[in-house]
Amino acid sequence: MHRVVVTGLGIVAPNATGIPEFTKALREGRSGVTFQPRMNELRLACQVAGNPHIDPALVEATFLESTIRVMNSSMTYAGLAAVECWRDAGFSYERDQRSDVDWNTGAVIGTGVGGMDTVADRLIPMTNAGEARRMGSAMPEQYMSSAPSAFVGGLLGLGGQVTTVSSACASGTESILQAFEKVRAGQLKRMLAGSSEGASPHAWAGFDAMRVLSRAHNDAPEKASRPLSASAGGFVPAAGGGVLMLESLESAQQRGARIHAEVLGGWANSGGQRNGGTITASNPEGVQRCIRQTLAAACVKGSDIDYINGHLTATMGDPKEIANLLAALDVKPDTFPLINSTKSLIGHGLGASGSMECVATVLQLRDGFVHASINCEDLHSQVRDIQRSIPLASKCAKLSTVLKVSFGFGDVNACIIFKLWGADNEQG
Amino acid sequence: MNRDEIREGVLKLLAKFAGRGAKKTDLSEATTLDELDVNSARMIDIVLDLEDQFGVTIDDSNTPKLKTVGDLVSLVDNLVNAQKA
Repeated sequence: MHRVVVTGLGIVAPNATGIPEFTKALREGRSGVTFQPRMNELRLACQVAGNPHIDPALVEATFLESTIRVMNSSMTYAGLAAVECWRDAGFSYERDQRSDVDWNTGAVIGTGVGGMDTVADRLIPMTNAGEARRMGSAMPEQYMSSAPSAFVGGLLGLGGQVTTVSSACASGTESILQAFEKVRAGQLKRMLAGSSEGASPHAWAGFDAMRVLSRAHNDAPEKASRPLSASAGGFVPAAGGGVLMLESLESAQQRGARIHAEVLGGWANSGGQRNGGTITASNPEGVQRCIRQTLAAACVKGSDIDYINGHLTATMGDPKEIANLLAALDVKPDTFPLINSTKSLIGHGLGASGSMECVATVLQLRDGFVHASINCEDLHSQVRDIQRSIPLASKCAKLSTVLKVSFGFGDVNACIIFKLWGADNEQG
Repeated sequence: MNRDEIREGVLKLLAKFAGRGAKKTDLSEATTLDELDVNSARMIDIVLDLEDQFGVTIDDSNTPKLKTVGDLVSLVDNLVNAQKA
């Protein structure tokens, strides 16, 4: 088995595009949640979202016009994040140069919903209007489930396995886990790992119909995403993409690559939709087993974890998540690790949430800070016993071993542990 | 509209479809779509854009025969002139 390290990072998030700006946004506790006129026009109860704002000049500088013509939002986010990650890992990319096939690198880029904007805005209206002939050649490549990974694979000429994982809101973390297993087993030197989710009010409308989206803060979008809060009223839908380069330690050291962190291990499972688990709710035993298996896979104890990037969506699941973490880590409330919700800043990116939050996790680990978990000044009564673990403002923190947890519809769970890369590691 | 004008319009349109390995200079009617690194699946989009730009209707049976800039120019030229007649 090979040690696996993170040698590249890339992100398109609702509160920032690009790693430097995203790091700054995390430190500032900057919200990326904004009012969405289209959701208002469609008379959704929730009219706010974490919708990435991307400078068109960045898109034009990254992709050829012939490429831009066939991209939807989930492909754009995946492509921008992957190119940033690729360059951050020390590889070259020029928008008008076709590289040779890289047989040593693959990609697992997940998605939860995928190209709903293509389906809702073009495929269905044009088909229903009898205009299928005029849709052009680029519909399937935008709405197929594997669109984000296929797009990234073609951009970068990846010759390893190129695939998409789809496990609802666990997609991002599970994608990273699958890529980790591939590199750890020595099957590939490197894998781009992450996920993306497009921005589509039609994708969000289904959740609105379930009454699980925030609807009380349409006039104050930055207050809408309230994980861990007594006044949490549902999650804020979001979009974006995050990509990490996972690489064998040998390959990274041979190349002299910068190492952001080490991946120690992880686990994915399901609660079977039994014993409290349903299509939309987690079986507590499944969650706890996943966390314990993650600790075992990473060869660490619960008390070794000094920071958790929670799933924490601002629904009734938040207190249950904390209870499951307390049980699975086997720690008391007064020794509970630091924990925050990146969703408080950027909303819930669905299939992209795990990857964007893993990027946030690695940045906090690498740079020694935890970002504010905003909008939970009125802490939920069932989590008050871990109040000291929840940063209301960004603060410095020497982190060593950190846990990312993600849960999704289908009662699926995915967790992963990252370790600080430093002088001790480099010696052996 | 004469052939030179049609050629100019076709080349401008094809620039939007050129891929990352595209030949960028000395473009002529002899230039192949392969040299412009045009993804073959995009011929459908090129045909739709040609229809919009030149106000013609191109039968799908013509698409497989289009290999060079000159093929596109000739096809459009013939259709435009047929409309005049």
